Parts: sequence; C-alpha cells; structure tokens
Amino acid sequence: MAAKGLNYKQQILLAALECSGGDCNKTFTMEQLLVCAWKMDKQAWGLRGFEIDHPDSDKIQKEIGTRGPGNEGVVDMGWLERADRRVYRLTPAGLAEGFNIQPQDSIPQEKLDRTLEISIKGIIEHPVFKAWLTDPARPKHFREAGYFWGIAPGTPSKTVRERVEFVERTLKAALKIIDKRGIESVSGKRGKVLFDKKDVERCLDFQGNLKQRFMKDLRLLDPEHEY
Amino acid sequence: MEIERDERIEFHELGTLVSVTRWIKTHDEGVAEWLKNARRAYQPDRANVEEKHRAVVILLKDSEDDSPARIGLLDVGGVTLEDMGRWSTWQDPDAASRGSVTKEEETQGNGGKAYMYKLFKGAAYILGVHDKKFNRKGFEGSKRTLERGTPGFIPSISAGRDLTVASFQAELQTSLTPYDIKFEELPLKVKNAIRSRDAFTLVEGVDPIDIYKGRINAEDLIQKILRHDQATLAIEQMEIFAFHNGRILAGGKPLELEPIAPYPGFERPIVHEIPEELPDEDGVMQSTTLDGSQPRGRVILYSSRENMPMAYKKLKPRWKITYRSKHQMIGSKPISELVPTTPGSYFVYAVVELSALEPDYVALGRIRPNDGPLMEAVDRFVAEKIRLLAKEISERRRHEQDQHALDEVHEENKKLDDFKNRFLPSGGPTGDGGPGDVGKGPKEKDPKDPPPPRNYGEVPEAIVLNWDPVQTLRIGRGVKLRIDSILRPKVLDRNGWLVPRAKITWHTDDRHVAQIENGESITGTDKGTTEIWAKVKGTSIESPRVLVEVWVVDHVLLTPRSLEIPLGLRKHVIAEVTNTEGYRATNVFLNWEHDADDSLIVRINPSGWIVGNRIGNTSISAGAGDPARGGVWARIRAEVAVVPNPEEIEKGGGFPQLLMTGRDTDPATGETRMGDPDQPTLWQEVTDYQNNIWWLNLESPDAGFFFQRRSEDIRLWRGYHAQKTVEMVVQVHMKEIFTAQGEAERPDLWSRHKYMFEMFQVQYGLSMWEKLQSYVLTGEGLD
Repeated sequence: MAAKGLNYKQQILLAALECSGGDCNKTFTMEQLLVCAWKMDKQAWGLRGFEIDHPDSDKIQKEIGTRGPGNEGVVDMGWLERADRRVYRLTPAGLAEGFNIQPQDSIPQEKLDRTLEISIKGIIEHPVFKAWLTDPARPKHFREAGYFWGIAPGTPSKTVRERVEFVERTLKAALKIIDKRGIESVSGKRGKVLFDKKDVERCLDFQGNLKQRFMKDLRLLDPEHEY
Repeated sequence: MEIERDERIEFHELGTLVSVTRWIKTHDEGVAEWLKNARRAYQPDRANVEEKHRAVVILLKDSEDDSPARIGLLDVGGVTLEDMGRWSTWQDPDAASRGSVTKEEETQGNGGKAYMYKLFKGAAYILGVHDKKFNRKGFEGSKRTLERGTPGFIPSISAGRDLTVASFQAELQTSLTPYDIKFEELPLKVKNAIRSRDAFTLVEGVDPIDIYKGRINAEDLIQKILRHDQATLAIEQMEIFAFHNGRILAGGKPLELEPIAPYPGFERPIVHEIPEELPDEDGVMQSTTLDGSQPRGRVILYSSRENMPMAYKKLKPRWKITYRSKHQMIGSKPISELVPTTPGSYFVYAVVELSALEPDYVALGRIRPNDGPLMEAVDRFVAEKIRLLAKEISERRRHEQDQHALDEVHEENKKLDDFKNRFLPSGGPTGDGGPGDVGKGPKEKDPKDPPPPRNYGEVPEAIVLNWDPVQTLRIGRGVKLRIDSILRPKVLDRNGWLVPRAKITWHTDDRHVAQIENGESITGTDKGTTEIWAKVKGTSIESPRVLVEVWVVDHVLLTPRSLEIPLGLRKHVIAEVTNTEGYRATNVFLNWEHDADDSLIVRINPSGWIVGNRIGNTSISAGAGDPARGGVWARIRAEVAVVPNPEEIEKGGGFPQLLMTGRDTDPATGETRMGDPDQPTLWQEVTDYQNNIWWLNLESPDAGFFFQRRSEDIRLWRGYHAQKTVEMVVQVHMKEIFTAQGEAERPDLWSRHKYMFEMFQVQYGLSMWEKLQSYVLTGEGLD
C-alpha cells in the first residue's frame, strides 16, 4: 500500500486494513498497527533520529486517542473500535473509508459490501426497529432504545457516544458508497442485492428519530457530547 | 533451500493397496472396469482388433458341488508378456496406453486389478494366448493381504510365463470348461475373431464374494453392468455377449442397454452448448475450456416417459447426470442432487460432455467427478437447464380442465364432504380447525370439552365481516387477492345461525380503483380510495362497506431477512411499504412469492405469515404488480430455511374437510390450491394436516383420467369421486387408531395394518356405499 500523500490518520487506517485483512471481527494490537504503519512510511512513524531502524509508539498513540475538541483520534472518528486495552478492531465505517482512500488496493469491494450488508441487516432485523416499523410510536422507553444501541444507564459516556455513533457512521458509510457508485442498491457477484439506498435511509430515519426521542437520556449519560 | 533426499519415496505397501482398492464395492463396477480395459486393448495402438471382430463375452457360473462360482470376461485381444508386465504394476496410469500418444479413454491403472484383488476369495488372474505364446498371471491369497496384492505367474514362472502352445483353441477350451461352455457354442462373431487372430484373453476370478450361496443373479448383474458409466463406451463400440451356467443370455444377441422411452412431446434430446465462462457458487467466473485450450462442452438432456425414481430397478439407476470428458466417462450424480424437489425433474436425465473436466475432476474409481469450482459452475448451469425442461414437462402434465365441469365437481365435492362427516369420529361439525395466531400451529382445544353442536340457518338475513369497520383495507396497485380470505364474510339468518349454502359476491364502487373479478377477487387497479361490499347472490342483502385504499408502491422493505422456520410452524415477515407520496405502512396487502422449485416448501398468506411446509430453502419477496410494467417488489428478499421440527405437529380440530384443487382456497395462503401431478389423489401437506384438510388432487393421473371422461360418462366420475371419499374416511379412522397412543405409537406389522384397513373398509365402505350407490347413479340421495 502506498502511504505517501496521505495524512497520518489515513495512514493508520490503511495500516489497520493491513493488520485485519479487511475483517472487522479481527483484532490487532497497537504495536502491530504501529509496525505496519512504520513499514509503510518510516519517516512518518519512525523514532526521531532512528527513523529507518525503530518505530515510535508515541506517534501512533497520539493519532489513535482523543486530543481534545476538534482533534479527534481514529477511534473517535469511528474508524477503529477499541476491543481491549491497546487492542483494536476495524469498524465497517473504517473499512468503507479505507476503500474510499485506496479503492484499488487490497480490500476487495465484495468484502466491504458484505461487511456493510451484515451491519445493515443487523439493524433492519433488530426487534426494536421492527416494532418501530409497525408502530412508529415505539419505542416508548429508553430501555428499548438502549437495547438497540447496546447501552444502558451506567454505561461510560465515551462508550455511549461510540455505540450510538457506530450505527450512524456505518449507515452513512453505506450511503456514501451507494452515492459514489451512482446506484440504488449494492449487489453481490451473483446479482443478490446486499443493501439498498432506501433501506439505509430508512434506518437513518430510525436512528435520527431515536436520538431525537431520547435526547434527554443520552445527554444524561453523555453530557459532553452534542447528539 | 537445500535438501538431501531419501533414496526413494516410501509407501506403506498394504496401506496403499487398501487405499487404492477401497473404491470398488460391487461386481458390476468390477466387470465394467474389465469391459473398459478390453475396449481399450482393442484400439490400433494396442491389439489393433478389426472393427468386425470387436466382441467380448461375459462368463458367469454358479457354484456347484465342490466347484465355486466364477466370473470371467473373454476377449479376442490376446494378452502378451509385455501386457502382463505393464499389468503387474499397481496404479500405472499408462498401463492401458503403453505411453501411446493416441488420446483414448483412460484406464485407472488399477480398475480391473482392484476388482480381482478385493472381490474374490479364490484366485483371480488374466490369461491369454497371442502368437502361440501362453501367459497367466494374477492374484492368489487371503483377503486384504499384501500377498494377495502381489501379482505372480500362475502356477509358476516356468508353467505360466511365455509358454509356447500348440493350439490356442485347446487352451481356450480348457479355460471355458469350468463355465460349461464349448468353443463351438461361442457366438459366431467371437469364434471368427479368435480364429482369425489366433488369440484370446480371459480375465476371471474364482469364488466371488457377496454372492449368496454362490448363485449369481445373472440378469440383475448384467443390467447393472450395462447401466454402469464405465461400460458406456464399451457398449457403444463392442458387441457384448453373456453366458450363465453354460447358457447364452439374451437369446444369443449382443447385450443392449434398455432404451428409455421419451416423454411424449420431448422425443429428441435437447442439446445446450456450455458457455466458455460460467459463474461458480461464489460468483467467480470459471473457464469451461481451460482458457481456450479445450473445446467447448455441451449438456444433452433426455426425457423419460416414466417417472424414473419410481421405476426403482430399471430407471432409477439411470436418473442421473453422467459426466464425460473427451476420452472417458468420469462418473455421475443423481438428478435429485442438482435439482432437489423440482416438479417434473423425475422425467429428465442428462449427459455432460466437457473436456476441461479432465484431469482435475477425474477421481479414483470414476464413480463421481471431483468437486471444485468448475464443477460447481457447470452444475449450476446444468441444473438451470434441467429446471427449464422439468418445468415444461410439469406444465404439460397438468390437465387442461373444463372450467364449467370444475364448478360442477366442486359442488359435488361439497355434498360428498358433508356426507362423509356422518362416518367420521366425533368432532366439531364445522371443520373449523385452523392455525392459531401465536405461531404455534392450530388453536388449542380441550378434547374433553368438544364444541356444542351448531345450528344452521336456511334463509339469509345479513352478512357479517371479520374486519374492523373503521379500518381501511390497503392494497398495492396491481395486487390481486381473494377477498374472502381477508374479510372472512359469514352469511347469517335472523337467529344468527350460519347459512352455509348462501353464495356471496363482491362489488366495488369504483372499478378504476379496485376491480372485482369473478365476484371473489379484488385487484388494486389505480391509486385512490373506494368501497367494496358483499352481497348474497340473488338477494339485496349487503355487508357493511369496507373502505379500500390503493397504494402505488414505491419501495418494499422486508424484515427479517433471514429466518429459520421449524416444519409446521409459522413466522411473520414484516413488509413496510412506502408509496409514491412518501407515506409508509406495514399493513398494505401485497402479493408474495418465493423462488424454490418446489412451490410447497412454504405457504405464505397475504399478510406475510410464512408456514414451513416442507424441509428446504427458499427466498421470499413481496410486492405489487408486474415488475416489467412498473410493478415494485422488495429488492432484498427474505431467505427462509424450513428445518425439522422436533415437536409434534398438532392437527386442526373439527371434521376433516375434503377440498378440491383448482377451486378451493388454501387457508394457509388465501389462494386457490393448484393440483400437482406428482402428488396422490388424496393429498395432505403439513399445513393441510394442521388445518385438517384433505385435497382431492384433480391433477393426479387417475383423477385426471376420470375427470376427463366425466362428460362422456358422469357415473364413472361419480363412482371414482365417491370411492375417494370412502378412502378418505377409512384413512381418517386408520390414522386415529394408529396414532391414538401419541408418542407411544409403535411400528406395527403389515398384517395389523391390513386387517385394520380391511375392517374399516368393510365397516364404513358398506354403510357409505348404501347411500353412495344412488348418488353415483342419479347424482341425488346424499341429503
């Protein structure tokens, strides 16, 4: 992968793609990520004065984590997800963004499409979404919305933000792909439709509706974020 | 990387021997291999046997006194010492070709040998005379031992290797004597060939295993040999004769594979050229010509007049797809593997000719080609072509039925259905068992508390609908539905009693919005609202009006997108419809369809409830109108797998109903159940059992036959129809008796089944036929 000409976050994303092989279930350590990024661009990720010989873990840490408002790390941007301490995994939105950065590279389009299909299917088949389809007045209680997002009272504010944003970022990534390709739906190799623009928009409606409806609860759980 | 190798590659000898002979299991497979070897030996690069001399004789002899049974094959090639040398090597792929550049059907290098090693207890060897030289070499020893697998001259090198003989005929006679055959008795073609060539080869085995009491079922074995894929070329290119216990079979004529009579209208084979590239299961394109290095292949489809899997002995073994490369047969697969449960596929078999399958898809034994991406791609293509032909045959098998006669039979069927209830075990008189609404099958009923007898009215007074009057019936434009199955109207008399005989018709206020067809179906014709209502035929009695709103569908979203349904249970698929104005709802009636070849895998009602009816997979979609004319269907289908249900499937309550295909509505779908020529006349699916329904399947061959003669002789039809009703009653009683113990039901002896069946036939048949006689003769007498 050619890393030159890309900013640091984009380089990290490409390194994450390399480490995961484009598989959003596969985890990798920060050290793996660092070595991978360093191999792509030693000047950018090398230890000062020893760029050719040693990677610098400080540099990557700065780009992964939050560095205050307006300076989000790749986790805040929703490209990577923290699976454990210094262990990460790629998100569907990260995969899609990686494909946008270097579409000709190692991530097969089929893999990206299938990953997004699985994520969207998970939303569309969710009981809370189904209940909303048949009765738009539902969900009436935050616990149902929490069930959908995977949060509950007591969930750390950062996790609340990540999980709520995760849904939105995945859907927006799917929409971006559809728009970029100028099509109405994305199909697999055998012609099977994997996801459809109108379905994705419907899911975004739902997400927006849910956020609107439970704004108060979200603010209580995560007072620093603007939902 | 450097490596200092061992001097030679080592194999465990016995282990390898067992491994390379494992595939052979039956004598027909073995003799087919011998035939294949003989055919190959006759080619110009080997024995060069003239066309007119190409014949072989299969020799079979039962055991007698102390003499064990034996199986042999006599050919006119004449084995040489060089042949013996090549034959002695296991797994030599050049054994047959001798390194010749001529491309021919490949032998395996162990086919015939594997048979001789594995399926005989006694000696098994090859002997022959060529140029007055006699050779005999083979196997002898205990089963599955290395000793047996090590070939040797028999009885010794000095007495079995390259001996000069004075008379080949004397040697041959000696070899034929154990089969009770004299040289003069051989078929003329064989005798002439041997005389002309001064040569012969006999390959034989003594004391074949798995032959009951040493008696060879010659006819069966010969048929199996002839049907075997590996014998195909041999049958085409040689005359094959057979002897059993000294007597020539088939009247002395060459053996032939029985011809399969084609299905009428499909007499000629249908040939499809295989495209140069085909997608495999993952959608990856596979070259069918090995990137242009091999010629294109073809699929040849044949039809059979008879149902092939039903003709167990003769046709079932030939109900398959045979794969052939340029030079050899490489095995076969049953048709059912490629197109499971496809109606009409029972009448189709196929041959695939594709050079690119060689060598990667050729497996040891050539019983079945190897799996792989090209095979997947070819199979997908073949399956599609078989489906098309099967569909055509299936449609042809449907009888063109006279609609007026169908109406009459429908009325007769109602009478017989009412009549039969008098002879059935007690139950509610309404036959109203049906699926519940919690996805657990039929409504629960307390057997100790049967419903009270219901009174019936005669004079209609009102029509009531099972529909909330404030609710709007939403329907997609282009969607056609049976209204009764949605609004469920009932005609009542002034006491509130049901008037079962009253007929109702449906009406619309604006046919430009919703059109009524035949008084029973509604079609959304264009965007807008209107009202519909029911009227009792011949009266002014009307139902309350129902507001109908026709939506022009813009998008359909289905959820869930994959679901597993245990057999007999049902699950709901929600269809959210967006119309062209951007409104959305999940209560819009749509048409539903699924894409499995077997249309009965699932039953879907217009509200999206899916009942698992047969084990299998399908994908479901819902929509409105013809997509080619602007109709819109869900782009993403719901994948459904119907899986076995470990729990007992409950039967619906009430009297079982006898309904008629082509006329009556299937409660599982709300649509008319169509007949099926591959189903029995008294037909009951899982969903039918739950709804306590039996279908009189007018598409079955026997029902179709009687129905078509109905106009000529109505009594013939009535007699048949009445008899089927009696059979249904008997079956209902039989089922009650045999399943009364519930889970404690045990497999029972045929004698008990037969006794019970005959007892019920006598008991109910007699009393039913007392009334049915006059019905058959006059059409009256059941009231």
